[in-house]
Amino acid sequence: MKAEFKKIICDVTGDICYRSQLENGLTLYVAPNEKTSAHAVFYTDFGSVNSTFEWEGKTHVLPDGMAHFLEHKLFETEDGGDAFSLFAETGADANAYTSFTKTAYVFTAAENFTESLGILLSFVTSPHFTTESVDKEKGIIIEEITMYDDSPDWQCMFGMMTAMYREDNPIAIDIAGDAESVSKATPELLYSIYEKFYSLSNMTLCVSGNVDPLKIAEMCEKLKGEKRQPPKTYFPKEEKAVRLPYVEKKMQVSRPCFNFGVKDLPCEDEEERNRRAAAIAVFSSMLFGGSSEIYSRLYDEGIINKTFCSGYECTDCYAFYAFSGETERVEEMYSSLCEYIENVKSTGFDEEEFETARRVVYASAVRVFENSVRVAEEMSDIGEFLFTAPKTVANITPEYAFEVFCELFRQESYTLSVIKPLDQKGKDI
Amino acid sequence: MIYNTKEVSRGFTLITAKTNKFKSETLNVHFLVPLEGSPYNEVLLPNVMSQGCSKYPTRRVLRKRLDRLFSSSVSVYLPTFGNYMSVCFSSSYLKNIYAYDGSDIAKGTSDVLWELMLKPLITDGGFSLEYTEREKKNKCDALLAAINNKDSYASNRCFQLMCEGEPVSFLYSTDTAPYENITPQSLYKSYLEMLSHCPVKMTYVGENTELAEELAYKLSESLGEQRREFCLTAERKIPEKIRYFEEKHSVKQARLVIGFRDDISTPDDIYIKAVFDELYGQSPVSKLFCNVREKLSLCYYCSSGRSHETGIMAVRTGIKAENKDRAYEEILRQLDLVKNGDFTEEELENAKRGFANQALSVFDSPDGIAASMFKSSLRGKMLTQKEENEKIMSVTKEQVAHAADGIAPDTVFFMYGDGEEEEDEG
Repeated sequence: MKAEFKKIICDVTGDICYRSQLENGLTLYVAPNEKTSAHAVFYTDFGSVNSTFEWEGKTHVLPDGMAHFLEHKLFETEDGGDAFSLFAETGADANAYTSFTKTAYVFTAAENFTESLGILLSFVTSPHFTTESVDKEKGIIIEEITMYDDSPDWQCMFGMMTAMYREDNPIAIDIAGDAESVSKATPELLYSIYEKFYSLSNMTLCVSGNVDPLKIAEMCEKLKGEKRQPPKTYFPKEEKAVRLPYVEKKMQVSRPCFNFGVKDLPCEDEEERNRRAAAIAVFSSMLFGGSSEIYSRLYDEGIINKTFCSGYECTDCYAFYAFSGETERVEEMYSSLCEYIENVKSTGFDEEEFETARRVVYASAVRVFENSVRVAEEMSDIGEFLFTAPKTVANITPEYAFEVFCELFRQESYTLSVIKPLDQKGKDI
Repeated sequence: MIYNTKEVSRGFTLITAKTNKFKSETLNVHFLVPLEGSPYNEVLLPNVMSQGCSKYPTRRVLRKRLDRLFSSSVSVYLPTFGNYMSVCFSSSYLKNIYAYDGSDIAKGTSDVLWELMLKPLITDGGFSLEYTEREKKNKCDALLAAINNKDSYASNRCFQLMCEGEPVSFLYSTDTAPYENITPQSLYKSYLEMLSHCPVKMTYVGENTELAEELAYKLSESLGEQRREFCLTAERKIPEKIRYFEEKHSVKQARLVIGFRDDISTPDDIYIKAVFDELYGQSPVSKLFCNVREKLSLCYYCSSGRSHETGIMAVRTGIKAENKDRAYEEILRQLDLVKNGDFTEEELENAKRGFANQALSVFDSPDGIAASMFKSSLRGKMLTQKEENEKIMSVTKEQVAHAADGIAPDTVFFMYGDGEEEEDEG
C-alpha cells in the first residue's frame, strides 16, 4: 500500500473526500459516507472534442464520434460477452456516457461494491474489439444518432453550438458523429485511439458511498500504468464573438423552441474557473431564475412558460451561458432579454436580491452531499472544489459577480438558435 | 430510520420516517382524486395555485420567500396511482443547521405550505381570473407540445388508443377542449370539494416528526372529517384481439410501441412482476436488450415498463421502419420464452439482484423514501429495506413464468417518417 491521501473536508457539512495520485498515474477521489448505495465514475479525459491531436511528433485527425464509439465497444469482453453480464452477477446498475471532454464508465451498487469495482477497473483497462462486433455496433450507433435527429431540444442546442463556434471547432459537431464518420470505425483504429487516450495518467476514478478508501486504492494500484503525458489536443483559437448571430431549422414541433447562447472564453486556471462559475450561478439565479423580475414579467405576459431555463457550462476548453425554452414570440423574448441585460449593466446588482440568490446556490451546493451518485459525478466534473463550493458561494461578493456579469454578456457573443414548426415561415432576427 | 403510520382521522393518514441521514427534509400532503369523473379542474389546480396565494399573491413574491428560506421548494404536482390522481402539495427544504443566519427553515417552509394549500387567492367566489386564464393557455400549449418528444408521444398515443373509454384514459388525453371551459369559480368549487372529501395521505421524512404530527392534526381539524374511503379499482380489460394503429409523421426514426394488459399488482405479487420486468425488458442484460438490440442490432433502445396500479405495460423501441415486423416478432417471441420458463436460473438471479439494487437505492433520498411510503401506504403494506430485499430474493422461476403468462398484447402503435429531410437555414 503506497497511496498517499490528501484529506479534504467540507467546512459546512463535514463531508470528507480523499484524493490521491497513484504511482501508475491514476487520479483517485473517494468520498466515504453512510448511504445505502455507492457510485463509481471511471473516466478518461477523452471526449468528442479531442479529435485532432499531436502524438509523438505527428498530428492525428480522428473521424467524428470515435470517443463515443469506443465507449460502446469497451463493454465487449474477450470471451465475446459483455461487461453488463458481469455486472448483472453483482446486481450493480452500470452505464457509460461520452461528453465533449470525457468518456465515463459508471455503476451504482447497493451491495457487492468491491466485486463491481473490480469489474469496472478490469473491463475499462482490457479492450477487446473484433471486426464483426465493430461492424455490428455501427447499426446500433446509427439508430442512436437517428433518435437524436428527431429531438428538437438536441437539434436546437447543436444549432447554437454551430453558430457560436468556428466551423473547424469539434465542439460544434455531434458527440456521436454521423453515419459516414461512424462507418470509418475499425478495430485497428479503436485500439490505436485506446492506447493514446486510455493511459492511467489521463484517467480518474471517483467514488462516493459506504466504502473504504484504502481498499479502493489497493485495488487501483494493481492496474498497470505509468505516468506519461497525454496527447496534446488541438483546439482552434476562438474569439469572444460568435460565428453567426442567428440560425434556424424546421422540425415537427408545436411551436418554436430556442437556445439563446452567450459565448464565453474558457478560463484555464481551475480555481478561478470554479469561482467564476459559482458567481455566475448566483447572478443567474438572481437575474434569470424563477423569482427574477424578467422571468416574472415574460411569464405573466405569456412570452415564456415553465420550459424557460438558463445555465452556464464551462471546462478548460469551452464555456458558454445559454437560455432555452419554447415560445411563440421568439423576437420579443430575445429583445426583452437583451434590453434587460443592458439595463442591469447600468443599474448594478441589488444587494438584498443578491443575498437571496446566494442562498439558493449555497443550498444547492450543500444538497449535493445528500446523494452518492451526485457526489461522485460532481467530483468527476470539478474535483475537490465540490467540498469547498458551499463556502466559496457564501463568500462571493456582489462586486466580483457584477464584474463577471459585464464581461460575460456582450452583444457580439450572443447567438440565437431556433427550431420552427414545419409550416412556419422563416424570418431572420 | 423509524417508520410510523398514524390514522389522524377518518381518511387522513400520516406516514413518517424519522431519520437524520439527509441534508434536507420533505413534507408532502396528497389529496387523492378519483379519475372516474374526468377531473380536469383538479389537473389545472396545481398550475393555478402555484401562481400565488393570499399572503404571497404573485409567483414572484412566493418564490422570493422560498428562495430566502435557502431555496425551499413548495410545489403542487400530480402523481397518479391506478384509478386515482393525487393533487400533491409538496415541500422540500434544507435542515435548519445549514442556515448560516440561524433561520428556522422548517417552520418557515411549513408556513408557506400551509398558506399555499389552505389560503388561496380568491376573488368573486373563484380563483384569480388572470391566473386561471393564463394557466389554461399554458396547459393547452403543453398538451399540444406533446408531439415535440417523439418517444413519449408514441407511448402516450398507444395508451390513448388502448384505453379509450376507460377512466384511466383520462391520464393520456391530449384534448384541450375540456380546459377551455374551466372558470375561476368551477375551479374553486372543485378545490373545496377536494379539501372536504378526498382521502388524504401526508408523508414526512426527516428528524422532526413532532412538527409533522402537529401539522397533520391541525390540518385534519381544519379540513373536517367527511372524507371518502380510498378504493383502488382492480378491474382488468381482456383484449379480444390485438389492434394495430399507425401514423405518419416528420420523423427520421420510426417508433414501435406495443401496449399490454396485466392484472394490477398486489402486495403479494408486486415483487414477482418487478423481477419479471427486469428479466424481460428493464436492464442491459434483459431479454429485449440482449436480443432486439445486441443480437439483431435493430435498435439503440428496446425496453419495457409498466404501471403496477393499472396493469398497463408497454414495450418501446426506435427502429428503421422496414424492421418493424422483425422487431415486433422478436419482442413477442421473447415474452413467450419467459412464459414457457425458457430462461436460466442465472438470468433469474441476475434480474433479482438488479431489481434489489434499484429498490435499495430508493432509501438514499428523502424524495425516494417519501414516494415509496406513499405508494406502500396505498397498497396497504409497508416493508422495511430488509423485508423488501427478502421478498425480491425469494422469487422463483415458476412465479416469474406464471407472471409472464398473465400478460397479453392489446394495442400496437407505429409511428413512421415521411422520408422528407428538413431544411437548414443560416
